[in-house]
Amino acid sequence: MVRLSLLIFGYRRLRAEEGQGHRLASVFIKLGMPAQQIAKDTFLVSESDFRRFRKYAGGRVRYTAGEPQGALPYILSFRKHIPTLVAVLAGIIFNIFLSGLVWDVRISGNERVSEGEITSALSESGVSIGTAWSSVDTAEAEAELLSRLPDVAWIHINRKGTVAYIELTEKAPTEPPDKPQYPCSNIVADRDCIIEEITVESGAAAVKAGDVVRKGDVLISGIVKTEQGTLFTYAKGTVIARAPGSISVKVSNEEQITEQDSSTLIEKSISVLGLSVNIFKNYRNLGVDYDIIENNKDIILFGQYKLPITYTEKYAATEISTSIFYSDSELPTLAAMRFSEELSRVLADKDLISIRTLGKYVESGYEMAADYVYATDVGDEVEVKISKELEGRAT
Amino acid sequence: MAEIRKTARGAAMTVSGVISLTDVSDSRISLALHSGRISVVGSALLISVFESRTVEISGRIEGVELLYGKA
Repeated sequence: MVRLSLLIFGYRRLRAEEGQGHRLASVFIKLGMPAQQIAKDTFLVSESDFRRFRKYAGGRVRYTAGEPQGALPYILSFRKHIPTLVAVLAGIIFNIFLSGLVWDVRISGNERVSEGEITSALSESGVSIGTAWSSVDTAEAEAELLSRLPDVAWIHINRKGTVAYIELTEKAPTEPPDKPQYPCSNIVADRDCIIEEITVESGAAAVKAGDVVRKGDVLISGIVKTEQGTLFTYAKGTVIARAPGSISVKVSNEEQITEQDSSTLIEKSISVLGLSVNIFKNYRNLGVDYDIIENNKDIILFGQYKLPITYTEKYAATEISTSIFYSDSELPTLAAMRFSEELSRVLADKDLISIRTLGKYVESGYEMAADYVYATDVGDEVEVKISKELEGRAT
Repeated sequence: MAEIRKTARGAAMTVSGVISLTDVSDSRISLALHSGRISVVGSALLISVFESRTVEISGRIEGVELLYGKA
C-alpha cells in the first residue's frame, strides 16, 4: 500500500533492470532516501527525493522512472491552464455576484400613469437597475411607491432572477371638474354673406333665407330650448349663402419673361434601399443662379417587379430674362385670355350667380376686372363653452 | 541493531546501520553491515528503506542468517 504522504505530495515508480534491484536499494540507503518496494526490483520514492536521486544515480545504476503520480503532481499538471482556471473561477464568482443585482424592470398594469413616472418613483424607493437585491425590502419599497404615485391603488414588486416585475392597479379616473358635462357646438358664418338656403340636421336654425349675416354670426345653434328645458347638441346642417367676390388682371405694354436657357447634367446617382451611391458629379462653371431639376427613375424588373433601386439624374437649369412689348391693340386680347384663365381658376369650386366684367386701358397697360356673386357653403362648426347656469338647466 | 515484530503479512524485521544490499528478491534479502552480513530468507519478502541507513524487511520471514566479518 502506498504511504499517504506519497499519495498527497507525489511519488515516482522506479524499476531497476532485472536482478539489479539491490543496487537501486543500495543507492537509496547511501542517499538516506526513503523508498518502498512494491514489487520485484520496483520501488516508490517521493517526487522530491527522485530529483535528488536522479542527479546522483547518473550512470551508477540503470533504471526506468514512471510519470509523477499523486495529488500534487496532478494539480501541478494543470499549471499551464491556471490562467484559464482562474478566469473561469473569476467568471463564476462574477456571475454569482451579478445574479444578485437588479438588471431589468418590467412594469404592467399601468394605463394613465407613465412608465417614466413609475421608474422614477422606483428609483427613489431604492429599486433601480444595478441595485443589489439583498438591499431591497420589497414591502417597504411598495409602501413608499404607493405614497409617491397617488394614482396607483395597489402595487407589487416580484423578483424573478435578476428581473423586477412591477404589477400595479390604477385608481378609477374621476371626471375633471371644469369639463363641460354636455358637449355642444354651433355652426357660424365664415364670411359676410346673404343666406340663400339653410338645411338643419341637428340643432336650431338661427337665420333664414334672405338674412344678411356677418362673419362669426350663428347660423345653426346647438343650444335648443324645449318645453322640458335646454338641450345641448352638436349643430349639424348646410347653409348656402350668396357671397361677393372680385378678380382683376392687368397686362402691361412691356413684360419681363424668364426662359430656360440651358440645362446641364450635374449629377448621376443610384439609390439602393435608401442608400445613395454617387456615379457622376460636376458642379463646376455653373455660376450662382440656377435651378436644380431632378429626374428619378425606378428600376422595374420584367415590367412588374419594382426593385428598391432608383436611378437619379440632376440638371442645373439656368434661366435668362427677356422683355416683350405689346401694342395697344394686342393688350385687350391678351388681357381677356389671362382674365378667363384666372376666372376659371377662382370659380372652379363655386356656383356663379352673377358677374359683371369691365375692361379699360390704364397707365402703361390694360386691366380687366370683374365683380361676381356666387353661392357657397358658409358654415363653420365651433365648439360652445356652456355656462354653469345653462348646465343647471340642461335636460 | 535489528528487531523483529509480528505483522499481518508474517513478520517485519528492522535493521539499522545497513551499508548496502547485496541481494533483493522475494525469497532472500541480504544486507551488508559494518560488522558483517545478514540474510533474511522466506517468501513474499519486500523491503522499505528509511533514512539513517535503516531497512525494514517484511513478509513471511522463515530464517535469518548471520555472516561475520566485514561486508
